[in-house]
Amino acid sequence: MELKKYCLLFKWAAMGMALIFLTGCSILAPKPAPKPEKTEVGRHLPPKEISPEPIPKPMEEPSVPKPLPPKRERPAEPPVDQQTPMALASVTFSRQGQAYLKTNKPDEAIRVLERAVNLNPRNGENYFYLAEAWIMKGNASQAREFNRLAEIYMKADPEGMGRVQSQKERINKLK
Amino acid sequence: MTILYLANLTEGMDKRFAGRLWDLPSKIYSDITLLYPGQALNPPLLLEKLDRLGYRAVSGTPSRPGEMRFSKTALEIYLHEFHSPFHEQQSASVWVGLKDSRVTSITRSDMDTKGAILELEPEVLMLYYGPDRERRQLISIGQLPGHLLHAVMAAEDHGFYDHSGIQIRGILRALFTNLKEWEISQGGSTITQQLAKNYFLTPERTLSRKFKELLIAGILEYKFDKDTILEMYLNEIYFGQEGPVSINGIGEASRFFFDKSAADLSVSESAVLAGLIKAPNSFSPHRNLERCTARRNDVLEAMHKNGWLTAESFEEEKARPVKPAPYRGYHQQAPYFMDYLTGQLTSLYSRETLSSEGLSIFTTIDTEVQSAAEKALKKGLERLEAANPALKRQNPGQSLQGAVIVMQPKTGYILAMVGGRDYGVSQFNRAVQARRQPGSAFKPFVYLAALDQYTPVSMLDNSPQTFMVNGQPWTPKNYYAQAEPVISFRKALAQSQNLATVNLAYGMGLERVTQIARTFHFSAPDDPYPSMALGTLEVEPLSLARAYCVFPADGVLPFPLSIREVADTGGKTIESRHATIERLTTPAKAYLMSDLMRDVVRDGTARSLKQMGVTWPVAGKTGTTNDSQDAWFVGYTPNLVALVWVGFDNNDSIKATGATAALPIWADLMKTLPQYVSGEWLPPPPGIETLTICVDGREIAREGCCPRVMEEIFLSENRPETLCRQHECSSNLEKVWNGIKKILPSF
Repeated sequence: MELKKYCLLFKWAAMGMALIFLTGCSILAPKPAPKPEKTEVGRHLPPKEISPEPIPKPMEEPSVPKPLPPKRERPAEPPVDQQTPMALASVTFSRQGQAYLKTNKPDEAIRVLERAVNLNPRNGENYFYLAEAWIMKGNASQAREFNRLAEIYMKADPEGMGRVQSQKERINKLK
Repeated sequence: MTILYLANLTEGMDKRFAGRLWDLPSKIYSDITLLYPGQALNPPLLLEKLDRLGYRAVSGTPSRPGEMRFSKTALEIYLHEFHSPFHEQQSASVWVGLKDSRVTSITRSDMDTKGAILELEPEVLMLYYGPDRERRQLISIGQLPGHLLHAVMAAEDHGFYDHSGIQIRGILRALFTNLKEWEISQGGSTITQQLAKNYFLTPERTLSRKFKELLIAGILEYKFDKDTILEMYLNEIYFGQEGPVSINGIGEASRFFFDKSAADLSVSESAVLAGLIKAPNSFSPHRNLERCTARRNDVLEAMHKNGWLTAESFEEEKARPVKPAPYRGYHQQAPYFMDYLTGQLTSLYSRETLSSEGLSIFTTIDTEVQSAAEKALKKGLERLEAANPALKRQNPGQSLQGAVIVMQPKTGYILAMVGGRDYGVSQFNRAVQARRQPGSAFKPFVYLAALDQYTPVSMLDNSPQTFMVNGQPWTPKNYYAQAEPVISFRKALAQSQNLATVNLAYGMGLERVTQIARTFHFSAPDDPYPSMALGTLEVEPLSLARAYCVFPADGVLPFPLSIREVADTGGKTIESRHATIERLTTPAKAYLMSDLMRDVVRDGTARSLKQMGVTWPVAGKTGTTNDSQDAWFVGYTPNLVALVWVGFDNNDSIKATGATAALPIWADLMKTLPQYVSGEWLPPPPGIETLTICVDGREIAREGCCPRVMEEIFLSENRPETLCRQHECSSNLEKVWNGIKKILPSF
């Protein structure tokens, strides 16, 4: 009984504080609105009252400015000390591939760069150099595919993206 | 008459020499095996591989090629020498530090610095024999040490460089012995005669054949110099039998018996091989070391008597123990893959070329993955039969079958292919030849096709319905009758809901299902029908595995690659095959599908994977067809795609689902391949956005208004744009009140 009374008191006190806040009282510092309960990505049970309409609801202009979602980009390769053993091993093959390209040996370069990709599919440099090897072999369609992959994985690296763009232009000039 | 006969013989010889001298079988190799610091290993699989490569455990420090010592803290290995167009391996001792089945460091004796990566030579998977089934490695006489030539001459024909191909004394002695015993038993042949007999004549012992042998020997001596004759002899001579295959020529013999090139043979080793020529199987060091040593000593003595070995060296060499390389059997591996590969190879080369020109064919197969896949399938099928004896069949040809394919998604490398339970019983390669319905394993392609119109939070009708198909009623069912009547896009795929999927297909148009099937290179009819969405189109398992590569490979479809390189006998590359890729969908859609399929594993039809010990990020899809005729699981990580199919060839029911029949095999397989588990998941590509969504309203959550929210990912081009209309707060006061209610939920 005592507890209920205290709770009620506290509830009214909270209401009062909220009213003070809303009316712009400056003696109390504003508090952030409580965050709603969050669940893991897409793993919440849907409510049963949902309309059975399978087609998505028509898009409407929002009544208030919509929250801007964070744009996600693939991060550049993490620092060496944070890379997996597979990723570190792939660096050896990646370097071999670059060395073969310098000596104009595209087939040898592709052979080791494919191994590098299998070990670490997240390293955009490997796709970039594979595209270089295919350019050397005069195969524009494969060069273009690997250039696109390089673009996806090197998005966060401005210098790398510059190279990818210039590579794309060279590919477009290939017949 | 005699002149005519001689002319005929000479012409026959010329014809023989004009062409190729010997048929050399092509060798088919696996891929190389990598060991690098930080790599997790499966020691039993690695040890099996080393055993197949001919490395034998020794108790002391490995000191010769082919020796190894394994402990919990290190693998010490003395590498074989190996040369290929892309892999030069010198014989050297290597120390691989281990801790908790993980490589800590690698140190090579032939390098100053610590080598970051050790590349173990590829395994010979198969030899592509002609009808003679001979193994041979050609040598030229200039490469051979003098003591080897002396040993051979001492053992077989010490006067080789002095006579003219025939020794009358030897012939008379043989003739006398043969007449005395009234049968042809004694040879007494010179090296030239032996070459004539082995290379040009059939093995029967008759007087007429002996006469021909003498004539041919004479012609050989007339036409060729001594070195050429000796070289031909050394390449031709028979050194014994290894199973169904014969070892021919000194090059192959030195590799087989001493694991080294003939150029590197010691005096003692040369004498062992020379001694073998007389009776290869009796004097084989693998069969009777004592007899072999005695014969070796006879040859050394003959070398000494002929002045080719000093007394001191003779005593020294005689005292050396005979130490042959460990016996290495040549067994065919990955037989279904070999059949598949042969199909690919015969489009490049004729069967005759493959069996005679000694090509080296380097493939993508990883024998550790192959071995793990074969074991996992065998164990899984036996487990199913043990759990349900009704699945057992009396006739092994009708027994429960399965197939496994493992590929690398970005390059399409086929790492393993198992086309059936027992190649000896059935050579039908189910991995590439079987056409089966994929069932729900096809659904991801339907959901992918729908991504332009639907999002993961779109709600789908999942209630029982009857559809009219060609005037006939069709009532698909969900696996569980009590399924939710309305279900989200994400959950419908995770739980593999049939009704929701059929409604989805109708919603976007059935022709989109045909279109997506064709995009992925499945054959689809012109007139679409609704059950296609549930996987009633027949597919080959390899095509399905390949199609799944698109999801972890940023939307690109790789060509399934089995051959990497073909080299000629001189080691020169004559054919290179590279990964070729084709873009089928956007990286963002591929990523979104992978995210949806992670839920299949997290809390959908494949959720038991975690209990089976697969705790790292995996996506995949189960599949079960009508009456459980087929059970599938296709699962993947960023590094591997693996497909498992289980079923009967005659379409009998296996009375199990993809989750209960195929999934455990997949889990068994993946758990044995720690070297392919990076533990990472795919990073989100450009074009993916994460939004906070109202669980009830399925629209963008209003902060402070929507009581239950969740994060969901969307394609940038198809994302909710509207704020939740179910929870519109009328004022800031209401927002705050909602927030307070959150803090004090008990009031």
